[in-house]
Amino acid sequence: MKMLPEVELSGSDYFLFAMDRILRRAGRSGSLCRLVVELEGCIDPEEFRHTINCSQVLQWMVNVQKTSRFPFALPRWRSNGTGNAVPVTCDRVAKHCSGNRETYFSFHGPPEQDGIHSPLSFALANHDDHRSTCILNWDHTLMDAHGAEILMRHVARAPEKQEILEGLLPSNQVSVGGRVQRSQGFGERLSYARKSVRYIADASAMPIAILKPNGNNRECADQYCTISFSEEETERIVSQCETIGLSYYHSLFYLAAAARAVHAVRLRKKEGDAPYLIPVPLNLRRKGGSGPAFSNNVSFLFYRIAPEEIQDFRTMVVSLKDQMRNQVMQEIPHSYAEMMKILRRLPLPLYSRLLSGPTGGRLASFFFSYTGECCPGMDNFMGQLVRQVTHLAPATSIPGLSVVFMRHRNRLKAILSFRNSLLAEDDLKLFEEQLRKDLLPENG
Amino acid sequence: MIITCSCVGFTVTDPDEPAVWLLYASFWYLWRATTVGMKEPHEVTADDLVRDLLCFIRSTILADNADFSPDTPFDKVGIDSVSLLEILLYLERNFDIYIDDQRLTPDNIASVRQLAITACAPSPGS
Repeated sequence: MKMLPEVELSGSDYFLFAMDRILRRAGRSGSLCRLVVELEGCIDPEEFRHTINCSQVLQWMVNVQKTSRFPFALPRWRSNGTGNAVPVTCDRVAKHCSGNRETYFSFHGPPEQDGIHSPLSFALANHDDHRSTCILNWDHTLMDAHGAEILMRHVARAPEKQEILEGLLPSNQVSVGGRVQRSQGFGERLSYARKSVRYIADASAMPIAILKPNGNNRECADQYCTISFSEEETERIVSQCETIGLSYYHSLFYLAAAARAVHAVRLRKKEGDAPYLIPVPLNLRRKGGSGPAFSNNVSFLFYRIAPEEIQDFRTMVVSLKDQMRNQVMQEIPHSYAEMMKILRRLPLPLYSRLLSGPTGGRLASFFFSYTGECCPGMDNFMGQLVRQVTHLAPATSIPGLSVVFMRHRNRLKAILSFRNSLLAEDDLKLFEEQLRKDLLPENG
Repeated sequence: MIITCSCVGFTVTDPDEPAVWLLYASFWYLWRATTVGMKEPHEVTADDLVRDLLCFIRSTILADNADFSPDTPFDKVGIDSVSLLEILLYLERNFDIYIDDQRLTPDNIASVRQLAITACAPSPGS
């Protein structure tokens, strides 16, 4: 397969670079994402290294960097020509160590080169109990979670199935709005994009509720907390969705429950009433295809929840459903994608100022995402049975809290990524209690 | 009641005149045709809808190489809630068909064919 020498950054790639800049200014090291695949057996480290290093796409991805030929030119991904290998860390992990997620993930973080994290790396941990874990670490500017799943499938099947590489690089497999498809003139594209600006200006009007950190947020580390639901609980949650008329809108049900859980913590911390702003990413890839894996191909739906709506779960759900319908009807996600595309020519400092300026640096009340079924159909990874697949999102600041719902083999789980200055142990307990109460109402 | 159609050159004074009803009918037909297309919702058959929906889904939602037929389950090709909402809005805009939440059960919206059958069936309240 012939590698592309350079590729235009997508609108959401450049948006993520602007977000990354905001994060780094808040004292963070960037947007590190992880996809964790837990396996039933052990993998031979040499075979694992060989598989990774045989992949041309992975080699290309680890060596690309953002370049812009002159000010206001379209930024492009271009190979830096260094030919670095994909960093692969292989370890044996004692059983007692693998139980503690925090120790485990800090141990298996991405390796650094000259103080800089590699944008993409793999870690393999073979445990004493004959199980193993494969972790893909990547920088969010490089690709989104759906891309990472496509890439992981590629690794799972490699090296004999090299033909699927064709779908891994950017192609025409990304959806654009109906109106953009029909007209390509810059003026029309601009007026189409301006629709989303008006909508977002209303949605993000100040004040916005956020969780305030205890102490210095700059010196804190990211933490993860998993809230798992059994198969039987997941079934009850799905039937609850149907009962309140959300049979095909599960993500809104989970979003409503997450918002109420954050609200419960804010109430306990005696933080004042304010509307919640929650941007939810939307995968713009055309469905049923195999790519693209590389680059971010997302837009956003923006939800605003008034303080009086959050008091009643059903009222909030109805409001969220109306907001979703209005945004899809007005093509806001595609309009926002067009806006991100147009803004690619702006210098990054100006772009990040535009993003964070109107809300005083508060990007959202919290970040929410529902990934759906993780790696559906990936039962086998390099010859070993897959036990679990988990996405770990970055705790994007400000506020530094992301809630990601996902399903794997009929089990729902919620992963919280947060700055440890934001949620203490009691807050986490309250968050889980409130979440279970709303998702499984007979428990409450 | 007096209806004057100067452009076609006749004046009708009697409300029971068939020409009045013909005129009313023409206005009504023109209004329907310009707002919801040429077909009445219940004139559309499930097969018509299947053809039309396939065309819409292929052109706006699916990848070029996606393996998709009227019976392919939506979740198999990764059609999510937003894509489904786009399909439902397409039905509303082009066929004046509104499927209420109670009828949006997983079985009723499993595939294009199921969705077309659901859309053509009269809603329980009607």
